[in-house]
Amino acid sequence: MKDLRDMLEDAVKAVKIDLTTNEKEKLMEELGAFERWLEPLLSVDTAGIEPLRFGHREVNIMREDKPGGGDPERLRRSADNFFDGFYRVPSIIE
Amino acid sequence: MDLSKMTACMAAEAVRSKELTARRLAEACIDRCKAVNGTLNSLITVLEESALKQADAVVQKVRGEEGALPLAGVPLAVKDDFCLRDNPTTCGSAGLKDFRPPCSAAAVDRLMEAGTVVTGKANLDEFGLGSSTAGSFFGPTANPWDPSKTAGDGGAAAVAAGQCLLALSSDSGGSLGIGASYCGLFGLLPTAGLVSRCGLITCAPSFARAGVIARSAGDALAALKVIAGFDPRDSSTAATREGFKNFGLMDAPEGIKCGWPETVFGMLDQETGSALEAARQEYTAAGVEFIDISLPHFKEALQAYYVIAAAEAFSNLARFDGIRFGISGQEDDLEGWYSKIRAASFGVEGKRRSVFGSLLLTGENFDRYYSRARKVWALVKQDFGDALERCDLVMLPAADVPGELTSGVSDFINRYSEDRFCAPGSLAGLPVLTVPAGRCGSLPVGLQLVGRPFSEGMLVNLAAGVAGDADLPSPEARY
Repeated sequence: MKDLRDMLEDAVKAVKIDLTTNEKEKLMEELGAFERWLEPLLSVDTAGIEPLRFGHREVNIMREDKPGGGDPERLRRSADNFFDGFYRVPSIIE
Repeated sequence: MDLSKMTACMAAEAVRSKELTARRLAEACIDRCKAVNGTLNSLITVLEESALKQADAVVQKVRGEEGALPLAGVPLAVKDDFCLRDNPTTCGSAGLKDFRPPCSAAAVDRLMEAGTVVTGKANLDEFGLGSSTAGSFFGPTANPWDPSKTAGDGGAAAVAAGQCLLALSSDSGGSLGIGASYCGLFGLLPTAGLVSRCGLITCAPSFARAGVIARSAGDALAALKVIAGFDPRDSSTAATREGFKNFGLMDAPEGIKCGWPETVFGMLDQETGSALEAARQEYTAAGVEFIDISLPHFKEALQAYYVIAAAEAFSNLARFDGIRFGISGQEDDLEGWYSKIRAASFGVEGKRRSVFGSLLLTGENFDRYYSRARKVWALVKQDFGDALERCDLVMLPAADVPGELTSGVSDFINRYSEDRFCAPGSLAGLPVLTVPAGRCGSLPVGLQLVGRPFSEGMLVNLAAGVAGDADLPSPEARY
């Protein structure tokens, strides 16, 4: 199993934020403080409790499946480069 | 014109009856912005030109008697995480400092259709990651009651200082209620799903809600009536599709049962506790019956909130590269460029939440923290549900007294703890009305009234009958 420092390095890569060595050291310290602060959460008896997945009112109201108003022509005009029925965008893969 | 005594409903009535023009009202608030914003830093952007244009449009509508305009000419501050068409919408971040959205948030559109005039975009912590504004790229907001203290929310400071008469605000863990409490105002956080969040930039979608900060309970309800209701662009409003109830309006507080969790009030310092106990006596005198209730998972709700909020911030902050609307430049290595720009455009809390959120979702941490937090969330919601079967509302503290004005969020555990009284209500998704509850020394303190879903009218009527209007700082205050 990876130690906390390796996990932090992985997390920094995952979030795509170029942190300095000092910032990483500070985060290591803060992570320890954060874990200690979270300890009361670990002592709550959650046996048999289902994790809540949605905080709002638990209803599902289906709408009628019909096209909305909209103005496709206006959307096309808003594009920088619309050509022959397609949106032309800059190449991102060489 | 004395802005220090005016409410939004009074102003709208004066504009509709042509005793006062929207233009004059807007000019008075813009003058106030020029006088105090340098000290308070409550508004990131003051919108003088567009405000005066909007005011003139309202003047024309009133003259032509076009539409009802329930909030005719009311100067409004819009928190800077709500999109405002063609105007700066920075979210308190360097990464969005040049963002001008092509459309406005649903709540903004509705308020403007009702006649409000937007005088400015209000300060907030970067991406709404806090309840103090200490984490704003644009610096913290000072409290109009005492500029050496924090205001909690830029819009609250603007309403208290007379830069506007109403603020559209957002809330995930407590900034709306804390801001209202710190500035001696009313803060209405409606039932989750009652107000569209379309156009609200949020990093905690499980909890984020749109609400208002006002000088009177009546102002808050008037604004809610404008912004509430179904929006096909926000599925969380689906429950209001067939209309919603009349907000539980009632005539008098007699017979109202209010839950009072003694252990929660025991978390306060003695002076604040005494001030809130005195406020409770006023509700008792008005005929409210108090009963003891228990909220067994109240303390752990804060930790549960921050685990889920960090996980959601990690996910939601991933979409901000900071390039188009933030810092310019170019490099050949796209991945490296993203990392550098994101490092330069995110503040300390944005970086912290991103990394912590990623870690909380990784490996064993997922079950240990994240799944557990979602179970505790279910327990907190159940606790409120159980309590509200025995009473009509629950009374809670809103916050401690405002802390010192600081910039930056190095002492993050203490910052997180500022949400300890408001985060549980956020988790529960229930309507919360923060009301002024006297002063602690020279600074205001507030109470939260937490009701059943869609009972906003009952909360407002109760507060209007007991708390009166907001206690505002002197216009000759020290700033």
